[in-house]
Amino acid sequence: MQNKLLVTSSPHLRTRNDTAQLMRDVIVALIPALIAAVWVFGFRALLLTLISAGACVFFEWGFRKLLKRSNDITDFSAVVTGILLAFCVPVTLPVWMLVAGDFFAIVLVKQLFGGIGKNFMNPALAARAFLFSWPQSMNNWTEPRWYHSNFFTPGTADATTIATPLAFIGQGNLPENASIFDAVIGNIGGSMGEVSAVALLIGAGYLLWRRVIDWRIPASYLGTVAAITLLLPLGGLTRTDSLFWNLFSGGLILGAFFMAVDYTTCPVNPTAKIVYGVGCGVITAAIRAKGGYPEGVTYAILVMNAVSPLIDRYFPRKRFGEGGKRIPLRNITPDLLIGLLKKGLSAVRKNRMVVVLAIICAAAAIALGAVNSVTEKPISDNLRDKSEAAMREVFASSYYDEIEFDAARHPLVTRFYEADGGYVAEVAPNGFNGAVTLMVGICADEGNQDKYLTISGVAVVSHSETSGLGAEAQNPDWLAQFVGNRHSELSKDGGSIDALTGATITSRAVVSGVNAAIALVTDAENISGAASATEDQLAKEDVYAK
Amino acid sequence: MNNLFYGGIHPFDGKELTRYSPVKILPPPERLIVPFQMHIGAQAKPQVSPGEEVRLGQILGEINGAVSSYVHSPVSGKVAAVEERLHPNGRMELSVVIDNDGLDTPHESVCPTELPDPSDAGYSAAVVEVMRNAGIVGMGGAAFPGHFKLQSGIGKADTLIINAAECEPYITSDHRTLLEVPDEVLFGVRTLTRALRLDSAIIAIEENKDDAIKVLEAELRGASDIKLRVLPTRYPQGAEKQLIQSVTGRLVPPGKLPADVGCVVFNVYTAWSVWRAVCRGIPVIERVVTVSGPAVESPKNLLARMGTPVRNAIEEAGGLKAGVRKVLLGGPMMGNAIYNLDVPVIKGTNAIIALFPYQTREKDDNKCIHCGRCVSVCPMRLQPLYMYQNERADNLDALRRLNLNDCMECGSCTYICPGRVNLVQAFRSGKAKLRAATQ
Repeated sequence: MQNKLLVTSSPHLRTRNDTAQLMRDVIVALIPALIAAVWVFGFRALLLTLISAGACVFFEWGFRKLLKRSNDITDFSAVVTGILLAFCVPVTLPVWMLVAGDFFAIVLVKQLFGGIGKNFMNPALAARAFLFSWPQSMNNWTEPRWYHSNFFTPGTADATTIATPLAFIGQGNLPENASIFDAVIGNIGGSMGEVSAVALLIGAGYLLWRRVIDWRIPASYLGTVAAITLLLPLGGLTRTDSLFWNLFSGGLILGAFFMAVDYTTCPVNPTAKIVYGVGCGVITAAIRAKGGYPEGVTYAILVMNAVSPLIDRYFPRKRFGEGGKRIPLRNITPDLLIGLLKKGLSAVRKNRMVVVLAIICAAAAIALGAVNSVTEKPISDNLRDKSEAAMREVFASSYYDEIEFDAARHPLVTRFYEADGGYVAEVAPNGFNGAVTLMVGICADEGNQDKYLTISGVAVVSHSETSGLGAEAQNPDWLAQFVGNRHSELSKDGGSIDALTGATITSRAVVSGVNAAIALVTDAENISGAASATEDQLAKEDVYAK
Repeated sequence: MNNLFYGGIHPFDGKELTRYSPVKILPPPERLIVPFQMHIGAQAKPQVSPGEEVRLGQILGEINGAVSSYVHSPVSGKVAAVEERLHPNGRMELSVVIDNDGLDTPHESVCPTELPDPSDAGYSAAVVEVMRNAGIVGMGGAAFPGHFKLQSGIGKADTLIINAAECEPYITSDHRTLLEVPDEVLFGVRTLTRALRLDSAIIAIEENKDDAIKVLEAELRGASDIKLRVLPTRYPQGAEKQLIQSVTGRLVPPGKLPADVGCVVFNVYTAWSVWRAVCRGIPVIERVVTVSGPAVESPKNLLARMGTPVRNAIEEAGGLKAGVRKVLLGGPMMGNAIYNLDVPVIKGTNAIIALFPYQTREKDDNKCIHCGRCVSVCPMRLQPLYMYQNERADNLDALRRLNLNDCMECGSCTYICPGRVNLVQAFRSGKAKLRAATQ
């Protein structure tokens, strides 16, 4: 027995709480949000979360097996990554895309840097940023409880897409499709795990109570966003609306309590944690207010992840027994100030590289800002000229009055104008490579029954399709096929429009945009009490006519 | 009032195992091994040779310089050898091997000391002399020579703190001493207070020792020269700098001594040793050792002679249970693990603890997950995870910037680490690297 006594360095006691226990606590804390996700988005939410967690564990195990490294899937960290990634994508995301995200998170972000504790970015958020390579899939938000009675449906074909509350807030408007109560319980559009503020806060409370996370990062993060949105409300929002909607919609709560506090990628020193949280808050608020994208949490946290080691180094804790003496006001003399200045200068000299880098970054940012402010007006003028030319091209009229329409019912339409004897709609369907902006003219002269509610012309305003393939959509000869149609369909889908060679996706996009314009005009005519044809009826008539 | 020390942890304290067991005398064994190194500082100079007859309390080793201590014979008998023997620190150290004659015949130097009147100018020097001659060291475990600490505090210190925190799990030797001989401890405290030319002392005790607190309150009723300060239970409250911070709010600056912020800290057992040296004339030849831990059959508090093999103490406590993983000298947080039970009990051995693997929880595949728990529990406000990284990378400049040498190896970081990283071990090796680099 004596030979078996183990000799190691002290201490000889260790807490029961190991990495696996901490990760299990995080999983427990995510369960309320999972329940909320299943209630809001149906069975598919649970399915996707389980698939994502399973895929992460599989990739972690497989990669380490392949490299003959010690396997540690029992620490549950891959499960946490899988759940978190599932929580920050829409329920409509195809399964293969989610699994690709899991692969990116585990293999590229986590394991290639050495596994747990070594990655420099939050794997789930980096994978989310990666999945934005498919912007249309990542911005495909369904209405809450889209599954209606069909809870177990694994597909999302019946889902109606809606805009998230933040899409309205970012424009300075109040959300039209949700109340404050909806946002608190989660009855809104958004990523699977982010919608229910109350479920997330229950989980966050559990983590704080179990001391799995520290209060400093969430508090400084949420506090900063709250302060900025309260002081600088966007557009016509009241201060309280701005504060409330910014805090309770979008991924802020999920980000602050589950992502920004990710151990590996946040600082460990108390002051550094506050600096980090404030940084996350400022970037989030800035992206939401000024960015072309309604949500800012992902990129804010990723940017702060990258600078977290620097923050940790430059905001260390005070050494035990050193400094900390407060200088009484009357003792502040010129000599003292000069001494402080000298101290500061020597600190700058010591950290020259950081200072130089900061100056270069600041200069680059200022230069970018300057270029932007100089070119902003010419670019927007240019675009307006182009749009006006296209409007004249598709429907000749002496006037074009912009009128309002139901954006939630007609998500593809971006602008709508009334003209002399017709309408012009600007639509932006998603093509092969982002939005294709089209101008569609429609006759609405009731005196001319043959041409009533038919296309008078289609023009492409802007696109980023592949040259020689999708870009051929600009060809006036091809666009001329739409003229005179009520409902259009590609020939391969049983209609009359010949698809562009090698660019079916672009062709379908144009068709869907044109049909969306007709549907909107039909609505507009209905409201004004004219012909009572719905899109479906019109389509049927078209078929019967053939 | 609530200026507690920074950080800290709450390990399971296990004191229930022995807190109600009265101190039992462990009969001295046939053969004792008394090392010349039982304290911090220079090793004592051997004064005996093999074959010589020695008596209880006779000097075996002469004090060697200012920071050093005498070594006395714990029994009477015959010197069998003066040779290198395995020491609790794991190395071979020069020791006296004594064959006990079982008579405990005292040496003529063992007699009470007549101290001068406290108002007399020579009082402080006389107390210092008694501590020096009795070989009294810090009995809480660190074993820093007591007379040197007292000497350096005279005239500088405005606060005397008696350390009764006993924050290490399982250990109850100070607790039992306070319960069983409070008046003797208080005599020692008063002697030290007067030697420091102070009006009062503070006994700092953690609230988990409620029965000892009651006893002390009863003893101190009406007394104004000793104050009792009850502190919340938290490890490492009993570390010198942390205790000073908890009691006075003062922070001992890096590289400075407690006396530099006007504080002197003595352990309860040190105070009792002072009483014993003054009133009985007996030097440090035995001490209370808590033999405890779940892997010990019947945990006990034992009064053991210096040089008693650890094996004897464990056998007195019923032996070890099957499946024991570690046997420690000292507490589970800062004690030494031993592999050979023949090493002797020495002055700093306040406990012998035996643990099972479910408590020690070592893991080969340990990984830092950067959670920062080590930072939040560190009582010295260090950044253990970065110190560990830089130690592994041999980055000595970074180790200096991170103040590695401020680390007192309390083990809080390693205890709390969910990735089971051996932080303290790395810090010991890092300190050695720093020492090697400056030489």
